[in-house]
Amino acid sequence: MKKFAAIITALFCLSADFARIPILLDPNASNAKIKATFLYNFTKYIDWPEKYKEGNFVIGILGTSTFYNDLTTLLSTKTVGSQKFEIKSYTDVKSVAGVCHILFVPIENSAILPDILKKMKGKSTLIVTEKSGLAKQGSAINFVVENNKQRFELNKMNTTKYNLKVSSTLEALAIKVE
Amino acid sequence: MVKGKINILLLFLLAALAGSEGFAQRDSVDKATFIFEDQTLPAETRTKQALELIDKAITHPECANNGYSWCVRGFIYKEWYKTFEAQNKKSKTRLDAVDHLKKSLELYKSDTTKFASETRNSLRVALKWLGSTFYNDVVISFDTINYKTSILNYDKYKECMLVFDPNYNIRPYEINFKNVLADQYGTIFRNNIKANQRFFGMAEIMYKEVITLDTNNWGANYNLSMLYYNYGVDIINSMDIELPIMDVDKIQDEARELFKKALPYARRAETIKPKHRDVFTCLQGIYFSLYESEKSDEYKAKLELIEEEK
Repeated sequence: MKKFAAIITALFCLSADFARIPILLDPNASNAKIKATFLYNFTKYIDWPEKYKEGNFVIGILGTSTFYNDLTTLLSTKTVGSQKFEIKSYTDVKSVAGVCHILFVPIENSAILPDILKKMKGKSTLIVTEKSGLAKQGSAINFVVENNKQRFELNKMNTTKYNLKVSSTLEALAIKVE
Repeated sequence: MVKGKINILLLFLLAALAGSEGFAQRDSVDKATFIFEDQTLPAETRTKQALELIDKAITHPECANNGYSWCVRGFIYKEWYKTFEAQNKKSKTRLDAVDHLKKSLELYKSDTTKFASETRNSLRVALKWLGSTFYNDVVISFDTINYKTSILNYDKYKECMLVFDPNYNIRPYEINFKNVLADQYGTIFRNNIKANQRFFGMAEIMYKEVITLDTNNWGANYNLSMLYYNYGVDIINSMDIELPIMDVDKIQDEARELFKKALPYARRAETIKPKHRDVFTCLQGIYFSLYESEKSDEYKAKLELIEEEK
């Protein structure tokens, strides 16, 4: 009897201090997923000039970012029409060469936006940034946070400037910036 | 007249027969007790014979309402369980033993004799022992497959212990049990989120019940926040990248509500254990998911500090 009670007490003590630690899922991956879904959707609601509808659909990421891996994984089987996605990582502005449909500028490279704008002049590249105020400074789409959610600003002038046609649906969903 | 005399005689005869049947049943109880206590017989033989005798005897009205008969029956069933079914977590004999012992207690309730008082004590001790076996089985078989058995055994454990002592402090056991059960529900949910959706709500309710019992229960607060947080992340991660852009907002709304629900519980967990690495990781993740980068960075720094201190 005493032996049995001892077992019970031991088991109770063991469980009293025991709290299972569930797996903490990576928040970076989920935030990247939202941005990737937005980027993928931009390709459906923005029209690039005809000469951009050949070859791969290039999304460039400026600088080293984990987003490159996320995007590569998420878009590996997707297409824009008949164009396969090609995700490129550019170390700096100078290395951006050839056709680039979308250029994503991570927040840590926001300061070089003026250089990027110079480099992309005359090309039909959708410049996407993620720092407050950058849509007013030249990017076409700028990711912002509103009410604890990811949203995006759209500067239509900056899309027109690059010969990109934005659908009214995308316009309606965006925070408009002039 | 003669016919009437015969009828009266027949009635006396029937009454005598009924009486002798009653004695026979009482004899059966005594015999069952005698055999049960006869240590010269092998355990299997004496328990089996005693069980057969008492089962037969208890069907008689005289024994059916007799505390001693139920007491004997309860102890024989308890012994049967102990000898032959101790490994069986779903033992019917054990459940029957509890019922018989309780029935005996009920029948002895208003008996003021010394014998009755001593018997009541023995009955309570036997119920306590059986309660311990139920709790033991709760702990041993507590997993995502056998959790239903654990629930039944825990209920029986409670029943026994509260009969043993109506003032028995069940609260710490209740907290532990609900915490572990919530963990099992949470694990079942996480194993297949789509198919096991209802287990999310079951885990949520169970953790909240623990928090109601013990507001500062670190495990329940932390795990509940993790349940919400992980589900929020899952909702986003399982989103189809081809989802129409107008629906992305709905997914974000759903996830945001979960992150917001997670926050107060994680904060309380931090209050309870102010320098716990897992809580910092959790809070960093929640704030990051809510796009509150300053606070997320603050917890990231706290985490780094902990790592440095190691």
